[in-house]
This record gives sequence, C-alpha cells and structure tokens, in this order.
Amino acid sequence: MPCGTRARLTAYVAYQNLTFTELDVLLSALTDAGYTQLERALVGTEAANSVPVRDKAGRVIAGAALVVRGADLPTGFGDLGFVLVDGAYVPLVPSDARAEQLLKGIRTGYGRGKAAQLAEQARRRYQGAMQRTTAVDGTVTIRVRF
Amino acid sequence: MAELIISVSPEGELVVRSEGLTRGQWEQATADLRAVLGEPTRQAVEAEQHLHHIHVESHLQVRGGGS
Repeated sequence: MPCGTRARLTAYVAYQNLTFTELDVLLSALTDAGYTQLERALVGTEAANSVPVRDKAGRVIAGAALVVRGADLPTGFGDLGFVLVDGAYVPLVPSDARAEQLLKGIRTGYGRGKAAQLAEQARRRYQGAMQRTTAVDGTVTIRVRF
Repeated sequence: MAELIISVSPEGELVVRSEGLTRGQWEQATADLRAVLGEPTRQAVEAEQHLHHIHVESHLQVRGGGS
C-alpha cells in the first residue's frame, strides 16, 4: 500500500540569494548591522520611490523607498538606496568595490531575520522546541524539534 | 521525533531541511516557503522512509450454540 503523505523525508530547499521583499526584516537587518541613518518613504507611498539618493558628491542620482545615508557608510561611498520594484527592495549601490561586501553583510542579516521568522512559525505550528546555534564560520542554525 | 533545520551561511544562503517530517508536512512547509520566498535555487529529496502498515484481519467463526 503506498504511504502517500505519511512517508518521512530527508529533504531540503535552498535559497542562494534572498530577495528583499519584507521591509520589516530588511529594516531589522540594517539596524542590526549598525546603520542608524535610515530614511524611508511614508507608509503607503513606498512605490513612488521618492526618497532622494545622493552620491558621494551630494548630487541626487535617484529616488528610492528606503535610503541608508552616507554618514553610516564607508567614506566616499554616498547613500545606499533600496528601490521598490515589483514588490522587492532592489539595492542601488555605487560602482564601488566595497559595495558587494556591504551587501553581503546585509543579505546575511536579512537571511538570519527571515530564518528566525520561519523557525518561530514552525515552532508555533508544530508546537516544537527551538534551538539556535552559531558555528565558528558564522553559519546560524535554528532547529525546531517536534 | 522530527526536525526542521533552518540555516543561514555567512554568504546569506538560506537552507531549510527536513529530518523526518512526513511528506504531507514537508509539502506544506515548502508551499509556505514558496509563497514567501519564491522558487528555491536548489531542492532535493535525499531519502524517503516509507511506513509499512500491518493489517490484521480477524475471523470470527460463529457456531450454532446450544447446550
């Protein structure tokens, strides 16, 4: 007799690069990374991308829904903008070698925020116990047992 | 005992792993993930343990009584 939905699995899904779709998780990742000079569009007006993004010379180069001001960023970097396009906050960074490193840190923070959110949902759904560990290489693992 | 293991690498890769979830629970979990995160970059079922059911049939023989 086939087991159908009762078979037990060892399986995985992996997301290499998460898209920044949730503003609250993104804001949390930014503040956790130490960015305090944040300017965001008024609630409900995000899609207009009306917050000015300035380059290192102070010139307005674009508009965004969320902007990390240059004072929080490496010297000469300018602002870091997040433009809301099709429901995702797309980073707008200068062509600077430091940009990828900076974004990597934000992506990791966003992933950790998202992982904590998913684990909490699973804990509630299955009424399980949650355990969080951080490996030497910085990998964060959250186990939900039930 | 089943486990849902969620990990995030220093590069920001998020992996959600099932250890012993039923196929039904895993399908629900991955459907929820797709709704929130979209299509995963990679996915695989590495092992599937089937449950074997034992059916016990009992036969009752009714005999005519009388003492």
